[in-house]
This record gives sequence, structure tokens and C-alpha cells, in this order.
Amino acid sequence: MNIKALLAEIAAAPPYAGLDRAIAVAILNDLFRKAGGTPLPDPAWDTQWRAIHAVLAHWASTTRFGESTVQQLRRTQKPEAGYRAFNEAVEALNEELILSNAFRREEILRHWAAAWGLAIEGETPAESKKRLETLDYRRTLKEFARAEESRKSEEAARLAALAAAQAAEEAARGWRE
Amino acid sequence: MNSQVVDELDIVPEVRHTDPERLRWLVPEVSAATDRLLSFQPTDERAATASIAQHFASLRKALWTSPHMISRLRACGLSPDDLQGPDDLHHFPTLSRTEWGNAWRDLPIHPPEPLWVAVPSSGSTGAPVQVVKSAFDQVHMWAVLDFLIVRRQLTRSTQVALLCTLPSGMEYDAALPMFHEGHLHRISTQRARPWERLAALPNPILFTDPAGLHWLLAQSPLRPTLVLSSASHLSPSVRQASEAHFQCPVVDYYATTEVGAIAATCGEQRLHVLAPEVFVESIEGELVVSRLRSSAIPILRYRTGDSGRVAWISCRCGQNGWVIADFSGRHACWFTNPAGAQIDAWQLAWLFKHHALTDFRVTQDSTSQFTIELVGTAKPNLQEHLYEALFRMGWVSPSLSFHTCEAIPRSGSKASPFRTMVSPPSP
Ligand SMILES: [Zn+2]
Repeated sequence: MNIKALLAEIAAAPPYAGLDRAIAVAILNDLFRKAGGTPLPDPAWDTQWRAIHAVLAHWASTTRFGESTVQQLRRTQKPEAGYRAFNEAVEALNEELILSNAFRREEILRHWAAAWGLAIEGETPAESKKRLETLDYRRTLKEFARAEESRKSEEAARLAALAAAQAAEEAARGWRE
Repeated sequence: MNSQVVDELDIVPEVRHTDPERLRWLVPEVSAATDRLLSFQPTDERAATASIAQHFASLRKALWTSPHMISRLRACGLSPDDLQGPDDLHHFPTLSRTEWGNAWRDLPIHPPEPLWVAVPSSGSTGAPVQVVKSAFDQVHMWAVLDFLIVRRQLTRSTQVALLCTLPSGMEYDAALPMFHEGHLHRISTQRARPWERLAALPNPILFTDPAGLHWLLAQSPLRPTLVLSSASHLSPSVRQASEAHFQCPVVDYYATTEVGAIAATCGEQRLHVLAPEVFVESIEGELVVSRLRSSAIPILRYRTGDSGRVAWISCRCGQNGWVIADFSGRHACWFTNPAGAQIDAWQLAWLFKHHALTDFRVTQDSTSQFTIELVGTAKPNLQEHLYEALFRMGWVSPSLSFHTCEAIPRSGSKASPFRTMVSPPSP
């Protein structure tokens, strides 16, 4: 899968304007059939379906995203386990994020590749893993929450430090002017 | 413009108040910054972009703990780790002065560090904003100075003089452990014998601003090693006159209170960006700065309000790098002559050498009409000389109207002795 080329194709493709679940599921199921495997059965879709899958289906029908998935998808792939892993990995993402933000688009493509074991062109598996860790928005949100926690619990100390910083300047002014 | 060397030297009150040894621990950090500046020598822009990407780590680290930046980035679905290099910047939001002013308490990193100072930055527009500076922010300029001395192959002097024309008349002496155990002498033109006291320093490095330069040019020449003028606006003619006067390089230095040092001129008068300490973009003609060195505030795409273009050049000074072209600080002023040409008004400053920069103002009211406001009486022949100068610059019969007043109204802390009411012709 060539991430850079796909991102460029997605940016140039007709914009996403919503897609029915039934159509999106049909498009994604087709990828598995074309790869000679078994698609996710309908009852399993009831638990695995997420709104972002419709965006992936849109990309599959407007860019080489589908084609490059089919190329590397193994026949023996267990779709349910793959979708479960994928859904878990992208839980911090939503349609709006992946449509508006280039980094989150790259992230979801890489999570998709990781869920199905698709290799990324021009990268070693270790490089791909590292890049995905860098982009992982679940980790970012956890870090943000941790930073906010620590700031909240130390709010008084922070305000005191800022007041001291202003006092340091004012003290200097006192003899300066 | 709030590019004030005076503000940049706010380390000094700290030094004076307390044991100067207190800042000695910053010596290695300052010399590391000098090394970064000296060793950033990419062959072309591609190599520079790749190489400067490695310097984004400090900014990323700071973004992770800045409460304001966290909420700003989260709102856009961005992560500090998305910022791996200059190519990623255009996906990130810019920071305006207004936003800074409103969020200044939430902008600095967390937890706070000791020795922070909150400096009000007096912009010429809008209310002052509070700028929190870390201890390193307060001394970073000494690294820049050291870099300029090495780059210009000058003999290092450890005596630094700061010539100040502000009415406060403040003066002090301070030790500079972070500048080769040097000494800083702040000398005010408002106090007794300023010239004599400057002249007593052996080949000092002389910091000043256009107002100080203006004062110095009216005195007998000194023999400094290097003169630095903060780039409020130094017109080429004033710089040439200054270099001839001092017989040493005059460096025009672009710094703002918010960001610190951003760029400095070379011997070829190109304004080189101080990479990798900062990365500068130009967005619709406005200079937008990201600060890559460690600091109390992560500065990501700050809109400076100054205008200019960023270009990559192989400079005749021997350095390849980004330069700021068509730089225009907020205090620059361009008169439009009858032929429609833009004329740098600061070229006229020289004629007012017997008047302090804060004591006169020249306003272009219409194409050929000028009002000159003066505190006190005009020096002999001023009217005649001004007429001649304008004539040489393309005004066939300028009309000059002189007024005496008690004070020139000011906006911000810098003198703005030139202004125009004539809009420039559309390009
Ligand atoms: Zn140069």
C-alpha cells in the first residue's frame, strides 16, 4: 500500500457526501471476495459497523485504496478479528476528523493496513509501526488528558508561578523607571 | 514594532537583583545554541528542510504541556507529534497576537520553571500582551551575539554597551557569565557624559536602536567592534552612514519581545533567518514564526504583524539559507512621490540629527504636502535641507508646513517619526 500516493488520490477524489450502510458494506465485502476470501457475515456487521467504514468504502470506490487492499489481503484472513482490531485502533477517530485532517487520514489508512497485515510501500515493518505510533490519536488523547489532570491538580502552583513571573518584572520596573 | 533590544535584555534586572552566579548554569545551554546556529550549514533548501526537521523536537515537547496549545490542537484533531518538520506546519493553526493576549496564562509549558519573568510586550497596535520568558529565553540573545561575532570573523570583545534613549534614564552594569565572562554597561543618553563613558570602553559591542544610532551619528565617532541595531527600521542610507561613521559592521537585528531573535543582516545586507532556532514562513506577506529552541512558551506559527517574504538564497556572504526579503517592520514608513515611487521616509531622519527621534514627526498629508511637528525650535537650515532632500527624491515643489508642539503623540514605546496619509499606488 502506497500511503503517500493514496493520500494524494483521496485529496483529489470527489468529496465524501455520505454513503448508505448497505452500499458501504457491499463495497467492503467485495474487497474480501476479490481477494478470494470470505466477507464479514451480516450478523457480524451489526456489531462491527462504524460510521467511518462508509468513508473507507467511498475511498475504495474512488481511489486505489480498494485495489491495494485486495492485492495484499490474504484469503485466510478472518474478517471479524480484523474489523475488531481495526475498530479498537480507530476509536478516537470519527468521520469529521478523517475528512478534515490529513494526519488522521494517514492514521486511519495505516490502522487499516495494520489490521489486515498489509505492507506499506517503501518502509520496513518497524518504520511503519513507529509512524503509526506517532500518529495514534488514542495515545494523543490520553497524553492530553494526563497533561490536563496534572495542570488542574497544580493550578494554584501555576498561578503562583505566573504571579511571581509578573512580580519579577514589576520589581525590575520599580528601580528601572 | 516591539522588536526591542531593550526588552530582549530583560535578563539584566535579574542579574542586578541577585547573585550573577545564579545564571551561570545556563552557560552550556547558551554555547549549545551558538553551536546550533554555527553548524546549521545546509547546501540547499531541501537539505535545510530535512535538517531543520530534527530541531522540531523541543517545540513538540513544549506543545505537549501547554494548556492553551493542547486545547487548540485538540479542537483541530491534531497532535504535537504530527509536527515532524517544516512541511507539516501548514496543517497547523496560526497564533494571533489577540489570541496570545487572551490566553497568556495558559500558553506557557507546565509545570512552571523557576526564574520565569512575564514581560509586557508593547505593540504599536492593541493592548500589550504578557510574554512569559524562561531563564534561557532571557539569555538566548547572547548565543545569537556570539554567533554573529564568529560568523563575521570579528575579534571578540566582552564589553557590551547598551545605549538607551528612553526618558527613564536607567543605567546599570551587569556581569555576563554567559557571554565569555563579559560585562554589560547600560548607558543612557539622558544622563551625564554618555559619549565619554561609551568612549572609555575598549572596542565595545554596541547595542542600540534607530533612536540611539540617530544620536550617535551626531557625535564624534566611537570605535566599536560591532554595532547592532534592532530592526525597528534601519534604512540603507542610515546604515551606510553608520558603517562609515564607526568603521565597523552595523548589524540590523530583527527580534520581537514575543519570539526573541528571528533574523540578522549579513555583510551583504541580507536579513538571514536565525535557523535552526526559529523557522519563518510568510503567509500573505505576513511573517509567521515558529520557535524551535526550548522556551517557556511553545511558539507555533505566530503572526508577527511584520511583513516580508521568505526566500532561499545562496548569499554572496558565503551562507546558503533562508532570508527575509522586503522586510517591513511596523514602524517602517514609505512616502509616495509624485511619480508614484515608494520612498523610504527614514532616509530623512539624518536631517533631524539635532532633534531626538521622539521630538519630531514628518507626516505626508497628500502627495506633495508635508507637516513637520517639532518639540522646541527647528535647528538652522532644517527647512531648506528638507526641501532639497525631498527634491532629490522626486518632489518638484514640496510644500512644507512646520509646527511647534509640546510633545509628539506616541503609540507604543518606539518613536514613529514618519507617517503618511497617502495610500500607495496599487501594483
Ligand atoms: Zn548573506
